[in-house]
Amino acid sequence: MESAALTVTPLAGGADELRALARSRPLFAHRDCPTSALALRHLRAAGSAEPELVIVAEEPPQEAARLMLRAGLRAPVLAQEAPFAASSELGVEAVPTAVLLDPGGAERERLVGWDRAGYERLLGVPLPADGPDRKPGCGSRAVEPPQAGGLDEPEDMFERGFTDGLPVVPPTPERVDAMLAGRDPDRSLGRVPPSHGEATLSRVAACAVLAGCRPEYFPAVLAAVEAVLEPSFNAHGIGVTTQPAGVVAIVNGPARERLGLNSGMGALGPGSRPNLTIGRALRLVLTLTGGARPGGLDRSTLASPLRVGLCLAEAEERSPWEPLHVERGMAAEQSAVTVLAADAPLSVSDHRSRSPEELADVLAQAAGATWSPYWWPMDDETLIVLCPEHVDTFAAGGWSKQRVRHAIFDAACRPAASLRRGEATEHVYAAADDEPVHKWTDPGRILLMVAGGEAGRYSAVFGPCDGMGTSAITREITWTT
Amino acid sequence: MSCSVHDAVRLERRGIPTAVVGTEPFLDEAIEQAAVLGMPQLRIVTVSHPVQLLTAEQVQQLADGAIAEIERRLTSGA
Amino acid sequence: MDYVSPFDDRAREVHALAGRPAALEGRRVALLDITKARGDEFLDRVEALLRSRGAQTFRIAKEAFSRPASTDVIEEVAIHGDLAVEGLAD
Repeated sequence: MESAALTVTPLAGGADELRALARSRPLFAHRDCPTSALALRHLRAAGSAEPELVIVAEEPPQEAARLMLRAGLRAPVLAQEAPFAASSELGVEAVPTAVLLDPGGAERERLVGWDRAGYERLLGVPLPADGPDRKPGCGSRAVEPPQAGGLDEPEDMFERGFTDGLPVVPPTPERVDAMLAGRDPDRSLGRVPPSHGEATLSRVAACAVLAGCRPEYFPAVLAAVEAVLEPSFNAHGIGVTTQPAGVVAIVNGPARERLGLNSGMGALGPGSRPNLTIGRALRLVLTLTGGARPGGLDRSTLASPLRVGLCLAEAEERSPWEPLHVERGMAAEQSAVTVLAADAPLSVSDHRSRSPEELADVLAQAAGATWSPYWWPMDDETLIVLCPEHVDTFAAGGWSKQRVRHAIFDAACRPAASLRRGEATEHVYAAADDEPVHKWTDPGRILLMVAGGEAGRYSAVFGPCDGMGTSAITREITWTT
Repeated sequence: MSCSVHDAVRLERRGIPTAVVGTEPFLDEAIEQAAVLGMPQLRIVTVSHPVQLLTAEQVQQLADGAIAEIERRLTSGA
Repeated sequence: MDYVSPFDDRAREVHALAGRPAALEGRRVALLDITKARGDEFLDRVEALLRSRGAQTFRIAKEAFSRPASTDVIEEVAIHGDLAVEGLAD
């Protein structure tokens, strides 16, 4: 952020204001010009000569400050904005341009572009010999308006903090309007904890643009944001906890195909634009609009890659059972997103189990170790993503989804005495030594869905968050604006 | 810590001076959270981290070490 | 270059802290337990120390440490207390 010691003054008047400055040597520059940046960096070495320079930035004050901070130059700064009257009146057509004005305000000399010998003469001090002796400049903003996609735009996004650490797509008004597609930009979905930033559609659209979403994805982003803002999701707790808790978004129904979401091979990994960008947009709303910034209000000790954001679709056609959203009360033909707070996925390999019972036991042991192998029972949700080959094992045995759920619940069971290690619950300490204790308080804590490629027997377990009082929330995705 | 700061801001606005006690690693989060909620003067009382593995006697000593600052946060004359 | 900011940058209304009494003597202090482990032991000791300084005390617990306190809890503290100590956040 800008240093308090760097003062940037708006240039309200035109060239007359510059002429009124005693011994004025205005140097015109702007942020999109590499030669301006080079000139400012070299002039940093001029030391005592700096006070004689007045930098006239063709930028609003905040951008002018950034220009100076990047160059490391301490000099008075005047920020001039459109229509750049001072530049026009002095006939500044290129930047950098330094103008030497005599005490009466008349021009004695000017330097256009970078000219080392010229600046040494102007300032009366030697300048570093590295770099070019001369270099042409760029068009002044008085003659050329700012271009979209300036040279430093990706860096600008980082400097503004509009990012999760990865490059983003700049949220220009045009891109945001396209994302909104006629929706009311000021309509709010609610306040986003922990800093209670208002989730106006404009801001949510900005996050979707930043994340790299296409406008077609926006209905899914909106539904996901609405879901996480439900009080029973507890976005506040999830956003500030030391736990690694991330948010998974699962899409069901016709939206999967309409958005091009991946439910097959590689569904949890990179490669699919809608999978990655919808998840990322949701995360950016929580981080940027909601203020749950890593290192700031977000205190997650280690976090996890899941916190960059993940959205996936269920491979409904590959499943013999009803899909997740139907189980949760929606109609099959409705599109829905389900959001869940969870740990990063644990991969479970099983290439040998022939029977459903064996496979359920393997999944149970893996799920039992998530969060903690000993902190049992947990009243928190676990998502198990079953790959097609594992689904086929259950289906071959004629098992329903509910039977799978109960078998996993039953198999994740140990005597209380064996759980008294390190972090163990009061329940475990109070129970009789041989009392059976399950991983979860209830089989209903296990969410099941189907995804993944046809070949390979790897399922995944998204472990629970502890004591966050968070519940998975399902919201319909609607296409109306 | 964030939730406790939210509570403290609400209580202070109700006229109830509130001293939130938290461990040191959460001080900067508490400062930031108070600022975004519009009460930048709110400060928490810190104790050393971690707490979970302390003996009962050590927890008492933590309180003994913090009481003076708690009193300072809650009163104008102490 | 103009961008649509994802931040809610509106100036926040600033609130002053509540007025403080000169001393603890005779004041009712709510000890608000956020229910993380060891917090109750900590507040036990704080309670004893506050009483020795002349304060009256009462205990109240949040429903969950992972959320802000409910309106009911805030009301309870505001109605029955003059001061509050909330802890222990770790």
